[in-house]
Amino acid sequence: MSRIQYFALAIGFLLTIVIFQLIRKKKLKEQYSLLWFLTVAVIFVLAVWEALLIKISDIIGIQVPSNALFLLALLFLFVMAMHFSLIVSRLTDQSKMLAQKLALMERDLRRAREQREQAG
Amino acid sequence: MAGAFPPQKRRAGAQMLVREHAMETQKIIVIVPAYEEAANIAGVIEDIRGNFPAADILIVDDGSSDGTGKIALQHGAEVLTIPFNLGIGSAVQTGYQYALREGYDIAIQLDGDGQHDASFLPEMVSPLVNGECDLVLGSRYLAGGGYKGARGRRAGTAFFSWTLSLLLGQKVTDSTSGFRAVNLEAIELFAADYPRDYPEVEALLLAHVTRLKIKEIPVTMRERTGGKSSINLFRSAYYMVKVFLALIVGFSRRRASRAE
Ligand SMILES: Nc1nc2c(ncn2[C@@H]2O[C@H](COP(=O)(O)OP(=O)(O)OP(=O)(O)O)[C@@H](O)[C@H]2O)c(=O)[nH]1
Ligand SMILES: [Mg+2]
Repeated sequence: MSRIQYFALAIGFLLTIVIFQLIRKKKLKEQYSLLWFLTVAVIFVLAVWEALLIKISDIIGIQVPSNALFLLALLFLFVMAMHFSLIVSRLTDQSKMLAQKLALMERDLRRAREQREQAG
Repeated sequence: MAGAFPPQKRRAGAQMLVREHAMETQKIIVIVPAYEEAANIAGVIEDIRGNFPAADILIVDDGSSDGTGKIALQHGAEVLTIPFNLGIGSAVQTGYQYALREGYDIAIQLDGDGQHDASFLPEMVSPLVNGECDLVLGSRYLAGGGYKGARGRRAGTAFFSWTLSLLLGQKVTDSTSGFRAVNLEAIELFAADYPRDYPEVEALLLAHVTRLKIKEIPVTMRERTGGKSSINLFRSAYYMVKVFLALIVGFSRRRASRAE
């Protein structure tokens, strides 16, 4: 194995530990960690199986395998960003509905208080 | 007495009576979106009360920090306080949700900055009462005089009005006007679905896609007397892009619903 492969393996291990720790401390939700574990898996596979990267480069027509790696990384980041946009959109919607409900309920509460004051 | 009027006039008078009676039996609410409008809100409430006492007034305070909601409460209006700024669309939508829940037949939207003249309220409501349409749009470009908006804004509005007229197959002159009145059908629609920010143009398209009938009537608007406009150059650019995208998406939805 070449030096770069060892380096990739080290990075992979490091990432695994970090993600695992984040989940253990409940800072990262399991459902969002799946994509990150997938990344680590890809890093491991490519580090160990060098020929795969060359094959992939051949298939998409890239001469330098490292460029294929960059492309893959870029695509991955793109998917990640998309994934987060979707989550943010959903959260925005949910927080909007909560704020609306709260505004309506607060008014009901105020009215109930006023009515009680009048009665008592 | 009745004989004193020529027959045509008499009929018109009778219709007027029917209309007035109908207006009295309808439950009407004026929804006022307000963000940092402490300087204007009291005047707006008095304006509505003076011109259209039949209507209840709901101020939707969208996370203002200048005490807008408190002033509105002191002036006897109903107030919804949204805990943080949601944007005018979601604020107005909360108003529609309230209107639906409290059983209103007609809801009117009127800006909290005092630019919309409440003396037009009876005219805004009457096409709804007569069943002529589901949504009445107050247009400052159909009327002579009054405030017409900053020049850039006018150009943007003209562009949207032109595009919207094409999509709706009906002439719309003031697509970005926030002065509008709607019936129960539209209240139901908007309570469930309303664009979050810069909602004016998109809401019209939404109404059209849902097969609601829109009618424009002339109104005059005033210049702002206090507070400050939320529209600036950067926001205008965002406004243009967002609404344009919304129009395209809305149009594709219309095509889809037709194909069904
Ligand atoms: N709820 C809510 N209302 C808002 C917000 N921003 C503006 N408004 C209200 O929307 C109304 C119209 O806002 P303006 O800033 O006057 O915009 P405009 O009337 O379209 O533009 P001008 O021609 O410059 O007056 C006013 O009643 C504002 O208080 C917001 O973030 N939330
Ligand atoms: Mg204004």
